[in-house]
Formats: sequence, structure tokens, C-alpha cells
Amino acid sequence: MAAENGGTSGVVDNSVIVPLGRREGPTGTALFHALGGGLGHYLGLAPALARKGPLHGLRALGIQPGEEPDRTIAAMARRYAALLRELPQPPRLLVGWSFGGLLAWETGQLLADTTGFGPDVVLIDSSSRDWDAHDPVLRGIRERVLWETVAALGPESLEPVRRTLDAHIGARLAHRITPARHRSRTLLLTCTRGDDPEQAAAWGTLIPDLTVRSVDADHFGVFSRTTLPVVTGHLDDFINHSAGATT
Amino acid sequence: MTTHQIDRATISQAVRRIVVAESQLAAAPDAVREDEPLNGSVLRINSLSFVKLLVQVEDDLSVTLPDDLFVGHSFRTVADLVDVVEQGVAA
Repeated sequence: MAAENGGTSGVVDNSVIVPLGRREGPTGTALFHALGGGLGHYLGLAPALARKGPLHGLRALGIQPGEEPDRTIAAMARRYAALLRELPQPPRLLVGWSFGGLLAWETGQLLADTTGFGPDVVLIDSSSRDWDAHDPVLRGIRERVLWETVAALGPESLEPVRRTLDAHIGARLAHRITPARHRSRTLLLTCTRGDDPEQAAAWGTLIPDLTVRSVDADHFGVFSRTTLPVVTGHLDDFINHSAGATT
Repeated sequence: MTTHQIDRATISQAVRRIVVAESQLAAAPDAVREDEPLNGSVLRINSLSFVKLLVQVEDDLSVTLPDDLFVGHSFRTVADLVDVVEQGVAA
């Protein structure tokens, strides 16, 4: 059990990093949990990424009984960076949807602090704007995430998921996104019917080398059967254009 | 998408092996019936398990399945999973 929940020290809890695919390949990838801590949204994306190399998922601390969720994004990023550094083949690609994109970005910056060149990052409809606790959109997202996660994990998960989700929302409300400190490649996939039409411009002020592509979907529909091939196509293009990468 | 034909018994065996492992059971795969609920007193398959499952089925059967094979489906029993994987192998 980890002790780090917003502070600066603690042991590494390796139960939050989940091997999803063990194939050998040049592109190891890490998928980052969304609000509420689950990885179920990546059901269709995981097989495509697993064919390119080792695939790991980072689920949130807090969704299992007895766990205490991290309460700052800095604490989550430190935890995930420490776990990814320990892998035999550290990932060259970090992917996150929504809140997970923000975690991928912040974790990538920490990883780059040790090497000077971070892994490539893919942000999937991930808003960088500051959140307002009174925004009705946020309340709607909270309700949807809560019930979707409980539906996926079972009713016994309601209380841990609620605590984890509220910890994530609190962390996001307090967080200001780190501008790029290192050279790395970043792909932003925006949903044409998402909640933040300004996200490409906003991320562009933080990330000089930003590639932007769009997907004709709403925020929660980006991994539907209709749009999944578009998402994987953009990822393939991005990965195939990485320096030295072959797929 | 697959490169060779695989019979249903082989698919069923692979799926049962994976769900037994995901449920952290000590039982042999053959001990799990196809009508066993995926979330019941024996098996405990959650959303994370499903994310892993398609990748593991591909590895175990040496096939490539459609990425969206599980997207939009709801699965109640082991047989539901075997049916969809069988369709994916045949596609």
C-alpha cells in the first residue's frame, strides 16, 4: 500500500500498474486512467496498441477496498512516473483520454526530467482549461462517470469510486497545467462535439510541438465502433512518424 | 482477420483459461462451464479484465481480431464471450 496521497514521499504501489499486453515490439505504451480511476474506456484501443509492443495501464489508487486515493495531480504523476521508470522497457508512448490525457502529459514531463527527452504523448479530448467547481457541465460529468464506473465494476464499488472520483475532481480543480519543459512530440485528438472547443488553442500555448487532429464524436463517444478506426488511424500515423520508430 | 481456422472448443478453452486467471481461481479451466456468469459466485470479470481479455485471446490463439470486437457488447456468461470471439475469428 502506498503512503503518497498528496505529499512528497511514499513507497511505490505496483498494483496500480497493470500489464495489458506483453508482446515484444518497438512501441511500449502506457494508458492512463480517466476520472474515477478505471481503464474500461480503452477496451477498443488496447488491442491496437498491444500489437505494437508492451502495453500497461495505470489505474487509480482508491478504487480498490482499503485504498486511499491520491489527492493531487502532482502526486499521481510522481507515482506513475516512478512505476514507469521501473519497467524493463519504459514506454515511448503515453496515452490518456480526458483526465487521463492530463495525467499522461504531467507524467511525461517528469519522465523527461531524468532523460531530457520525454516519451511521446497522446491527449484524447483532454481539456487544459481551468475547472470551475460550480460549472453544471462538471456536475453532469461527475454523475455520468460515477454511474458508468459503478456499472462496470459493480455496486460494491460505489463508495470507493465516489471517493476516488471526488479526489480526482478536487485535484483537477486545484491544478495548473505544466508548460512543456522538454522537447517531445504530442498529439492532441479533439472531438468535434466535445465540451471544450478551445482545447487545441489552449494546449498550443503550453506545447510548442503539438500535432492536432480531430474526431467527429462527442467526448464520451470517441471510442465508439464508428470512430475507433479514426482514433487508431491517427495514432498509427503519429507513431509511424516518430523518429526511429517502426511498426 | 485471422490467419487460420480455429474450432469453438479451442476458443472456449482459451476464454475459460483467461477468465479463470482473471478471477484468480485455482480451478482448472475445464471446471468452468460455458453458462457460468462472468460476474457471479465463481467468476469475477470486471471492465479492466475485458480490456486485457481481447489481447490475451489474440496471443493465446495466434490470431488478429477486430479492435472493436468487444465494443458495445454486454456479456453475461462465458458462452457470450466465446460466441463473440468465434465470430471475430471467422470474420
